[in-house]
Formats: sequence, structure tokens, C-alpha cells
Amino acid sequence: MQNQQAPPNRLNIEVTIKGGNVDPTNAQLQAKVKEPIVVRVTSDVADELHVHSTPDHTFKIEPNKAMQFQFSIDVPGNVDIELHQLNKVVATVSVQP
Amino acid sequence: MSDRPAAVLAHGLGGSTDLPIPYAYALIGAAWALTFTFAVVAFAWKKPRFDPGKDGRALPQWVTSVVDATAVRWALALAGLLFAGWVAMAAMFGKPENNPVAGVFYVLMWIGLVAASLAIGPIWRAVSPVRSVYRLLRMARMPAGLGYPRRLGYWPAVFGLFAFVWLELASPDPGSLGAIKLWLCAYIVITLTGAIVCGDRWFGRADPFEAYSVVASRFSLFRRNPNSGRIEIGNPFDHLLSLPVRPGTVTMLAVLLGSTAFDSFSASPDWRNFVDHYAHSVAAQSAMRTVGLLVFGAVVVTTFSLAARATGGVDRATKRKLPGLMAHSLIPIVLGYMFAHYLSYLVERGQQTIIGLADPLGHGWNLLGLGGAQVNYVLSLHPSVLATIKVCCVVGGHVAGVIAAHDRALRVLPSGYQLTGQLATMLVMVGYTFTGLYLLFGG
Repeated sequence: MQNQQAPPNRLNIEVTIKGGNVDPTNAQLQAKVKEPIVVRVTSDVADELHVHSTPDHTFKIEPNKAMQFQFSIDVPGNVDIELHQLNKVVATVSVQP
Repeated sequence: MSDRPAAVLAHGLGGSTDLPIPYAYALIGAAWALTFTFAVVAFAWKKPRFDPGKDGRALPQWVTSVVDATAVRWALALAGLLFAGWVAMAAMFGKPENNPVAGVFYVLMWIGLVAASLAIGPIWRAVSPVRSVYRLLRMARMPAGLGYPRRLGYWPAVFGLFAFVWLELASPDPGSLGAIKLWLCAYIVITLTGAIVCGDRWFGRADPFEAYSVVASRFSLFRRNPNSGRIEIGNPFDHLLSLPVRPGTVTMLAVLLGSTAFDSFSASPDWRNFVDHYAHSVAAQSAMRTVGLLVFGAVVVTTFSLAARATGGVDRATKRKLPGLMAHSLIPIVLGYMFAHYLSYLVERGQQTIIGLADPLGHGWNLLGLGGAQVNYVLSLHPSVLATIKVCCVVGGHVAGVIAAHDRALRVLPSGYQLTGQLATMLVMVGYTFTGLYLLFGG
């Protein structure tokens, strides 16, 4: 009960898409169930961010605009975050109970 | 919706995949597998015990009568045809998003069929829609066909199974409804044409689902007495030996084991980085995964065949037969690893698929009151229970495989070579199990 005042944990993921290159790719990350996950995207092309959790989430990425998507995951598992058009996996998040 | 494929849609179904099992679980499982293997080789019985001809405990006669009743057979065939029709309707008129066809294909017809066959026997033979159509054609006085070329053995089924795992694990877009429809159409055409040309033997040797279902059913408690035809409960180790050894038997099992291992492996970041680095187009990525899948299958065939032959005291002709004679011992290993790998899919995606089938066209139908049901993620919500089950499946399958191989070695190897002759096979099995646990642990 010492951490009552501490802000809840959250996972921040910064994604940069520039000239067809994605940073990061295939990153391995950890999170907890119901913990907020925030993905910030800076991109020079339009794309779709697919979060392969249960259930799936899809976010539209617009070019040349700082964007932020937030979600949380209820069912533990390995969740792939994927750029649909570029066909790249940004990160795999191990969501622990 | 865009038409670009999604490379990592897990098995074409989306959603998350299982968490890796904890390191300690993998280690404990590996230790047990190793200990047990050498205990079996060193201390177990020295005279063969299992015999496919041994009588089991016969079930009451009415069980056999009901199972064999013409009315029951037609009812099962009709149920299979109705289900196929329902799925075809979903495939043709349903929406591409959240269509239950992918779940029917990748979950129910794959791991669901294994579970059903292991529980009650080769069920696909009774419900296969193509077999039913063939039976109707035969009733309409179609001639019986030219007979099945013996030399082909299980090879057509091997290709069918490879085509299935290729679509699931290596094709450009496993989740595409169009690709699944195309696959199923090709399956129906090939299976039906083959049966019309070669007769009904074609189903048992060439229909991938039937071959697969028969393989899984060989480790079932239930079986038919080989002499009286009565259904009985028997020792599954006696039943395993009734696996027909035909050309392609070892390869068929290797496709099943290798593809499951490749499925784990292809999710690893190292493999994904490797593919991203060397393949820049969707086709090139698919080609690389195809090679990976082939390599995994080839490694299983090669290691198992070499190990089974690694014995002294037998002539060359016998040596050539040994991999086939030992092949049944791979069945428990394949089953254990498949359940370890796909159990949460069967339980959770299975529920999702059945709920989806209650309303396949998205019209708000509520067949059997399932429309509003929610999936119970009982396994995913308890990862340590799931990890324990997985390790038990892998180690249990390994132990059963080792016992079956040991007993078979006592029967087919000459005295003096029975202990040394089975060592290589045991080591290869330990290798499969360690690799399996390592992949489940996530590398």
C-alpha cells in the first residue's frame, strides 16, 4: 500500500515512419493487463495501425501529423502491433496478468 | 478495407497469441523428459508387450450396432453436408471482416478435428461432405473407379497437408477469405475427382483431413476389434501399432510436427528481423517462409529416418523399412505438441467461431441462442495454468512416444542390438521435445 499516490504505470511506444522505414521494428515490450498503452506515431505516409489483441484494435494513421492512440488490453497474451500497409511489425507486447 | 496482406495475422485469425511459458517450466519439463527417456531405455521391459491384435475390453453390442446403423451413418453424413452448406453460405455471402469461415478452417478443421478423432475415432470418415457426395454419386450408378495406385501411398495427403500449413503459415495473406475459399474449392475438386477416378480408397490416402483424422485416432482409447469389428476400449499403445505403414507415412507426421514447430519459430523476433532484412516484397517474404516450412519438415524426416536406421545387426532391406516401422511412435509426440501449441486456439477461437456461425452474414441472427454469447478466455486469463498444461502435453507426448518406440525396437531389432539400436531414436525424440519446449518458452 506504499504506492497509493504513484501514478499508474503505462507503456509508451514512439513510432517513426519516414521514407518507408519504420522505427522500431519487432521490438519486445512488456505490459500489464488493463494498463494504458500509448502509441505516438509520426509518419510521412498514411497507414493503418493494427493491434492484434483480443479483441483487435485498428487506428488510422494520417501523414505529417503527430498522432497518439491509447488503448488497454484485457486478455493476457502476446500482442503484435503492426503497420498494415508497410507490412511491418512495430512491436510485440507481452501482456501479463 | 485495403487489399494489402497482413503478414502477421496469427494463423489468419487475428487476436493475440499465447504468452511464452516461463523458463522454469521449460527446464522442469525438459529434465523430466530426459530422465524418463533413459529410465525407459535402461529399466523398462525387455520383451515386447504391445500388439495390435490384442483384444481390448469390448463395449456392449448395442454401441457397435448404433455406430454402424445405416440411419446413423446417413444422419452424420447429412449433418456434415448441412454444416458444409452453412459454411459455404458464410463464405459466399458473409462479410470479409470477422467471417467465421477462417475459424472453421484453421481451428475446427485443424485442431478441432484432431481432438474429436483422438476422443472418439476417425470421425472425418463419417462426416466428410465430399465422401457423402461420392456415396450419392455411387448410388446413382456411377462406376467404382480404376483403383488406387499402391505406390502413391500417403503422398497425396502429404501434399494436401502441406498445402494447408502453407496457407496458414507461409502464404502472403492467411486471413484472406478469398484464399481460403480458393483452397477449399481446390480441395473439393481434387478430392472428388480423385475418388471418381481411383475409387473410394482415394479418401483414406489422399484427403488430408481424413489421413490426419486417422493418424490422431490411432492413439484413441476406442477402436474396432480387428477380428470381430466390435467397438472396444483398449490400450492406446496397442492401437498405435495399427497405423498403416505406406509410402509417405513418416513424411506426413513430419509435416505435422515440423509445421507446428515452425509456427512457434516464425513468431520469434530474430526470424522476423531476418525476413524483414532480406525480403522486401510480400512474395519474397512468402517464399522465405515457404523455405522455412520445408526446412522444418525436412529436418524432422531426415533426423527421424536416420535415427531409426542407426542400428547394427540388420541387413539393408530391413534398415530401409525401420523408419516406417517406428513411425507410429511419432503420433503421441505430434499430438502432445499440437495440443500444447493450439489448445488455447481450440478453446477460445473455437468458441468465437461457433458464436460467429450463429450469425454468419451479420444480419443479427441468433441460431441456437448463441448470437449474444461471449467468449470465455479461461486459458488466456490463467497463463500459469495454460503453461502447466502445455508442458504436460509436450512431456506426456514425449513419454508416450518413447514407450512406443522402445517396445517397437524390442520387436523389430535383433537381440544384442535392441538397446543400442534404439538410442539414436530416443536422442532424436529428446531433441524434438527440447526444441518444442524451447520454442514454447519463446527462445
